[in-house]
Amino acid sequence: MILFAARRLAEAVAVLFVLTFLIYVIGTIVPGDIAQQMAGIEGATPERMAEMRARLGLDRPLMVRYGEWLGNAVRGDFGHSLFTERDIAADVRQQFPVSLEVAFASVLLAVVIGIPLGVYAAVHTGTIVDRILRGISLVFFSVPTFVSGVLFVWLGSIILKSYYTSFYVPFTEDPIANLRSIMLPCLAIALPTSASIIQMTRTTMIASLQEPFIDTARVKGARESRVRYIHALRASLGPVVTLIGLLFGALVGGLIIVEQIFNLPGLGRGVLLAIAERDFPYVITATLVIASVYIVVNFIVDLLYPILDPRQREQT
Amino acid sequence: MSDVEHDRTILSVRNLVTVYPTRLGVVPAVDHIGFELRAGEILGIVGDSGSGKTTLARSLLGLVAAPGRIVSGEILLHGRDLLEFSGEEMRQVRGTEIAMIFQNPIRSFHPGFTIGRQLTEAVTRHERVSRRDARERAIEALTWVGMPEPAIRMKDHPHQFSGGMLQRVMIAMSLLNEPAVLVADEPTTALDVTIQAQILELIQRLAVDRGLGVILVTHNLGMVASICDRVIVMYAGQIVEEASVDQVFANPSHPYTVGLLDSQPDRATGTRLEAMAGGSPRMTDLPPGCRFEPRCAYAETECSQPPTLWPLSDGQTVRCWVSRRHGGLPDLPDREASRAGRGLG
Repeated sequence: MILFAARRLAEAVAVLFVLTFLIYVIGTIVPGDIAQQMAGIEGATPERMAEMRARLGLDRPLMVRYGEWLGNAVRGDFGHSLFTERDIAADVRQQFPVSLEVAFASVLLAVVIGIPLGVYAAVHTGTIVDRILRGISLVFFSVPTFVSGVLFVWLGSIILKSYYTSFYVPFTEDPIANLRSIMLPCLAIALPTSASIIQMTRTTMIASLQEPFIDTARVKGARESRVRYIHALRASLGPVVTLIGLLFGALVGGLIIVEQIFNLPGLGRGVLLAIAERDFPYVITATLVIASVYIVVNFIVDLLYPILDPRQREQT
Repeated sequence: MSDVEHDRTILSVRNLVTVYPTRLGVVPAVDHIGFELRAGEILGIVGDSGSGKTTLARSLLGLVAAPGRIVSGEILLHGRDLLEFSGEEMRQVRGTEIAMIFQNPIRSFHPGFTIGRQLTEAVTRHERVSRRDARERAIEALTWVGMPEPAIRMKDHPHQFSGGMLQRVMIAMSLLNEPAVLVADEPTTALDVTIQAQILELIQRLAVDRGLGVILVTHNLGMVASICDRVIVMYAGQIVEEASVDQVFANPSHPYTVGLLDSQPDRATGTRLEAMAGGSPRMTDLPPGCRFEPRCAYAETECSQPPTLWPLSDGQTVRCWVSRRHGGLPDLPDREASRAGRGLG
């Protein structure tokens, strides 16, 4: 188990390393740069652009710049924003917890909504409730975050006026106000996310309920509730946990939109702004942080897998 | 297990009817089935897939899969009718009074839990016992079924056992609450031939040493011959013949039983296997008379009327007009010709 964890960790670090390079290269081959942005359209004479690039260090070869950046990054120095000229590491340190909180709260909410509803639908397959649930989750799944986000802003500002705070309050300052401020953004992300969890839970749960070991549990004299929620649910969790890990990746897109809509000072909004301004050092740092979270989450999923399904233990 | 009381009737099933509603109509999967089971007795239930034998087995435990349901009859366990029991009372019966083991031992254990946990669960569902007591009982049962190093293997998961070993664990599990009846649904079908004999021997010991009444559901007459005392042959939801094992092999009295015997590999005589002509009738479209009549080489005109179960002699009963009239099946001098003549050869 420890060996398995160590190997997965080494793999995760390797993936992260390759990622830095890919992000760096992709970031450079994207057309347009900050120099153009800063010089403005009319002032962008070739001489002025060249001068600007030299000042920003953009004229040196790619590998040299990557090496220098990586060396600094390992020491925790991610440079300065080309746009705001502030320390990127300091900015990200402030923005990251906001996004992380919203992300985890959203997934938690999606799980809390998705798994029980999925189980219910599986146990009551073919009933009206099952069909309604399937319809609702299809709707949740199809509505893009920028639509559901706007709907929830409307909901917050019109209906829950006295309850919802439209500016972000850190958890450490006031936990209640914090939860109030992230409630609606989290719902906007959690609803489409929960839709896929409902579907996955329903499908795997229906399959589990057909398994012969379910009969064994009944024959032992286990109550139907125990048969469902202990035996069948436990056997259904593997694919659901994998899905939750994958959903973290899909979450980033929603996060960028929702932070923008709800005015949350997180990484997503920072990235959106930085991309618009071609603020390359910031974009790469933020992307790296987001990718790291994704890798860490899937590392945890990998560790959970052999715990959920002992058959995986020998194979690894 | 000293004071085992044999030969006392523990289970008697009367006129049991279990149906499955389908789009093409209501299917009587178990159609007025009745039999008695005595302590220490092994009763074989033989039939094709679709003959209703598994539905019958599941009916006994109140585990007919929806939308199927038991519509009438009696299942008397020690004289109490299980069909009158509430869901909770029936739950208490399962495991403590009637146990069941299944066809595929590997898939019949939960892959995520240890063997120990799954065994002790069978105890703790019915009794308030300490975990240690439940564990001790589980180890004792594992020892009884011949599991080496039971205390250590309790910590293992199902995938770490072979199929044969898991079937032993399954039998151990069924023993934990000392039930009166064990229903074994094709318990060796998924196992290697060499292992099958060991499992059958174990089941036989359950009946002989511990006085359980065993209902062995199978399609394998060889298995019936080796361990059963009595046999019920089922066809299209009905009992077509009931007899002692000796009677069935020496003097089969229903044409379907004869067909079953002919299609068994027989090492002693080395004769060619005889495949039964035709197939089971569609349960939604049963023949009006004898359900076997369309494939029967003995069929006569009266077979277009539904036959009843008729006692022949000495506890042998048969649902066949021909046997009833002749006191057994007459010799059929040229069965091949007869079949060909009926266009079934």
